[in-house]
Amino acid sequence: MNFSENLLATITGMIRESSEAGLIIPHEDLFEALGQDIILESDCYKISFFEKALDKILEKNADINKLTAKNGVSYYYSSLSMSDTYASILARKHDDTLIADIVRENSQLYPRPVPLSLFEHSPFGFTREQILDQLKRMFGSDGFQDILQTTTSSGNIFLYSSRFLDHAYAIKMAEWIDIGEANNP
Amino acid sequence: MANYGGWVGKTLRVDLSNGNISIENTLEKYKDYLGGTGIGYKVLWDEVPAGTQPFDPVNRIVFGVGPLAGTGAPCNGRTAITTLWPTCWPKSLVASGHMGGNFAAELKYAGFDAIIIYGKADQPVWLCILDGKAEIRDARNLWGEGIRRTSMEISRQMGPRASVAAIGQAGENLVPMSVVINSHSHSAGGVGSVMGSKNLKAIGVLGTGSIRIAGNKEEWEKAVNYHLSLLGANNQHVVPDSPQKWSEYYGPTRWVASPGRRWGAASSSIDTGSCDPHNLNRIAYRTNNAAFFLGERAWKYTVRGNGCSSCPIRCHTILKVPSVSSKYGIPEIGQNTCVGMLFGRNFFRSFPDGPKGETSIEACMVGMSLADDLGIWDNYGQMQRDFQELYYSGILKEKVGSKEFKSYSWDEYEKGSPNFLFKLLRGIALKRDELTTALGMGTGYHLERWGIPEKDWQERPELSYWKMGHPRHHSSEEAGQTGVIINTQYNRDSQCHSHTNFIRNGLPLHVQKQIAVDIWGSTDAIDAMSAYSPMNVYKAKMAKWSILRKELHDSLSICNWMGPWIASPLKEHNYKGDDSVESLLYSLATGNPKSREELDKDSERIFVLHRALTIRDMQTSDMRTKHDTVPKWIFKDQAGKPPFSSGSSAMDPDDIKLAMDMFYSEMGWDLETGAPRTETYQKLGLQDVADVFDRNGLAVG
Amino acid sequence: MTKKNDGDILKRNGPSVHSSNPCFSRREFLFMGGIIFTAATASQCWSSGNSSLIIIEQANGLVVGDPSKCVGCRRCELACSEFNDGKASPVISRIKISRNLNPWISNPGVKQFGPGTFGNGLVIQDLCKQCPHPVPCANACPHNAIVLAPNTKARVVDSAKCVGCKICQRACPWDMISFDPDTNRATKCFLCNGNPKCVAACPAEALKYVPWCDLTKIERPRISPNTFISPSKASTCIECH
Ligand code: SF4
Ligand code: SF4
Ligand code: SF4
Repeated sequence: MNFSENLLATITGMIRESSEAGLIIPHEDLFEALGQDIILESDCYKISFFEKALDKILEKNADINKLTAKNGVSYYYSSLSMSDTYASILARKHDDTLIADIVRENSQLYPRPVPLSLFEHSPFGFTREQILDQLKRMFGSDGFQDILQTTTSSGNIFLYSSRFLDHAYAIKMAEWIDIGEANNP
Repeated sequence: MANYGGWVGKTLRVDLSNGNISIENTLEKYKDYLGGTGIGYKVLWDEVPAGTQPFDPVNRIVFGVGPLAGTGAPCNGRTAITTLWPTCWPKSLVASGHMGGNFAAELKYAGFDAIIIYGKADQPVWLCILDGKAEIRDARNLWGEGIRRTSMEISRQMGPRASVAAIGQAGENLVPMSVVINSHSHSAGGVGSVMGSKNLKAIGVLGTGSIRIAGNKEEWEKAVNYHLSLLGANNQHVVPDSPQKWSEYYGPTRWVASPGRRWGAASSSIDTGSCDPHNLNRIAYRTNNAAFFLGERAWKYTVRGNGCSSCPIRCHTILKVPSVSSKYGIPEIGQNTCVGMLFGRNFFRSFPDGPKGETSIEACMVGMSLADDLGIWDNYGQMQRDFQELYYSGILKEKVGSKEFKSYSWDEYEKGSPNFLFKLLRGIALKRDELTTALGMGTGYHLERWGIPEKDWQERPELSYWKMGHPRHHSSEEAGQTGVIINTQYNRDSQCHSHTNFIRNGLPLHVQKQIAVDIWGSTDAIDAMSAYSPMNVYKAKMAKWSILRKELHDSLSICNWMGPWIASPLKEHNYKGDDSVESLLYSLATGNPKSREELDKDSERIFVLHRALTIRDMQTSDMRTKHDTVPKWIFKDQAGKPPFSSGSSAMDPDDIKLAMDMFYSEMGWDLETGAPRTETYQKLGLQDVADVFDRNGLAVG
Repeated sequence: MTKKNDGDILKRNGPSVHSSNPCFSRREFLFMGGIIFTAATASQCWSSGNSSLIIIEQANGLVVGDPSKCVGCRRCELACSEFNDGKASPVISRIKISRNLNPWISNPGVKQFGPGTFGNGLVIQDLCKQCPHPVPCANACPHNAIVLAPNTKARVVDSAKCVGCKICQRACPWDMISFDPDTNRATKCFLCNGNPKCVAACPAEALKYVPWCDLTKIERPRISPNTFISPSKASTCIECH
């Protein structure tokens, strides 16, 4: 199948632009913007044609990446201006496991607990109620037994995963991050 | 003598007793000591006899800057002030304080690398340094004034570009807990009273001179831009504190810029936005220490970042809080960083609206406004910790007597009202009563005066007290044995940031460990904070490296609150920085090429001279048991956990002994005493030290 | 981090000189300490007889500052003097920060703040306006040493002609002429031949290189200038006026 260089360049440009603006771009947005430029006899062909064009782009441009969210939606971004970490947060924004995922990632990687307030700010941008809601759901259901919380001496809640952190360490680090850091400038 | 760039070549010598002013060649005398603390220690060694007290006229106060001060090398704004330390207990010993601002640069433009001051003027004076000349001027009409008015008054006389370093009423009244301040908010702790004891109210500097860059200017431009490319936020934190579109990592750091966080009190509000590390034109937005220390609320009061000459980081934050003007009668604009910013707030245990509420910000504003005008030092927050402890334990009430006790509004204090600070802080500067006199002496002398054994303080982790009148400064709580070793070495709080800047830079542990291999030879040099492994030699190497870098920075005039730059925000470099950027800049600026190793040797000479001064003035070479001591609290865990358990920063006594052994042997010092050996002095070109110790029996073979 | 180069500015400014323009060949370049100076010819300037020179052409661009963003770091001053002259020297910097940095409150007892660190915190960057005709500094120079730069058409000091008399210094209403005590020559903003070092060095995006616009009518003078016009120039003026 031949793709016009023009089409490929346009799609690539759109992906890069949206990343530059701090967004990942869902497959359907790309299709909506460009689908009508593809003249084929049926939509069905069109879709598969478009898919192949995207595959080609992924193959040809090392910076273009694809992420598929739990609900099956594919997103594209360019690592020229967006990190995998950031893109993966955006792609999971509507997953109800996002908070648990982030908590586990932090516990495993750095390793450290994270304050609830992390989720109030960009790029999460949840309200306190939304966060507490998610937590309530998590604490009440299976598969999240590892997600635990600790409250610091100034009353702030931190979350961690017991899969990666032991309680004592999490408690100590939460207190350090919340109070120790600023008291030891 | 070769014509070096970097240095301007002259050192000013002022004898206030007889008004003699002379000039000497910096390089002839001090080239091996680089500048800054290097010159300071050398002058104290050569000119201040053992047994001198800080307020004796013969004591020197040395304002030293280095070859990079005043250039475009990033972060070179700090002036090192070296003298006999008035809060060092039970006996004054050598130490240095460091102020940022514009003073260091202006001193160079005025033609000097250092000022050595001694003697005592018979009436208040200030020192006017203008383009290669100095003059002692009458300061009788400035005596009794605060730092702000003094600075403006002198600026009026010298011109608005002058940089003025002044003491407040605290320094005048010989309150040991006093500072000298330049550029509004840049203070050096502990030395205000030494200036006061010499009747020296201020030093004004102004110059039209220049600092020659010896190397090719295109190469210099490249080197400067290269260094800038390695910079993180304040404390060289290299990852942002929240996920940013460009960043792979995030963590609890001082890199607080983010879309939506704004300098809310700027004349037109400014979004700090995304600060991709490759964009060197946005470095100044990364840091907002008001927001870091005071919380999200501080954004709306932020006017802008401020800081030292040449530094793009801007660790001081200018705040505008209109309500404080009507509520407390203080200017609505204030600025500082870290403990200076928290000065007022830290006296209180709680506030009506919580630790990060409006009142706590008001307390900061009141504290900054008073302390930075009266010129009070807080010894890295120890004054406030002492105060809280003494009050809430009832000791304070018992010691000051009921009449005096009743003169304070303790109700107000317990409620967290910033109004309480006015009487207290003014009292400290004026030594008005028992409480304020005692607080102004510094912890060691204060405890002694009130009959409290030092060891009581050394058992309590929450008091953070270390030894000799001073607190810990980045010890076991964040850097295990490495932090402990560093904290044993100085005669005040250690002020070393080489280790903590790395430990707290926000990178994942496994990335840090990769960098650790390059610098100290093994991943074992560092542990996760509060999950420590037993001592190993790489930690000793890290401790040595940290101290030498601190002395190097303090001597070149590079900010050790920012450097070293062994980590960077650059993913494409695996977050590695460059351990030799100091040598690159030094070599180009001065035209005296020196490798990293050669500069390390210079800083070792400087540090070992500090050690020698300590030995000489303590009259013992037994540093190990008499000086390099640790407080008991480092061995304790509040939950009773044994050393090396996860979630505990408790150390083990035998392991710390081993740590000191390993450190001493890294330094090539005698294991039993922890004193440098004669051959160590000789190897470093300190034959005169070896000779003196040979004569007076302090030599260790 | 896209750096504006002179090309961008030129494009936005409409047709103008670029390096292939034949009028370039008629200029003489002098390379002094890395700075390109040009002895301008009649193509951009009016001259009467063979000595007096009046600059008529507008500059292509100028550097402007946003005081609300300025963090007072002086990196621009250091870039200007180090990268152009090989020495750190705020007094010869052609952008002026230091003089506006500190207090300048005439009566410290009065709670009325002006700009500066001791005032309301604002630091105002002083920059050359690349004045339109009549260019005060150039017209004041009795030695015709302030001339047009190629490319940028900045008003620059030709150090081969400058004798260090400082007359231009007193003529600039914004006090933007620097004097280098080492070379004994005046110096002023020459827009770094189209790549302003100060703009590149600013860590707060507080400086911009923009197409020229006339700020001389908007910004209040800093000093009361000496409106001296050298006699030979005065006679040239009469030709037009
Ligand atoms: S130096 Fe002054 S007079 Fe000359 S062009 Fe610049 S602003 Fe105008
Ligand atoms: S454009 Fe160049 S000459 Fe002009 S002020 Fe900036 S750095 Fe200096
Ligand atoms: S470099 Fe930018 S922020 Fe710094 S003083 Fe100059 S204009 Fe201001």
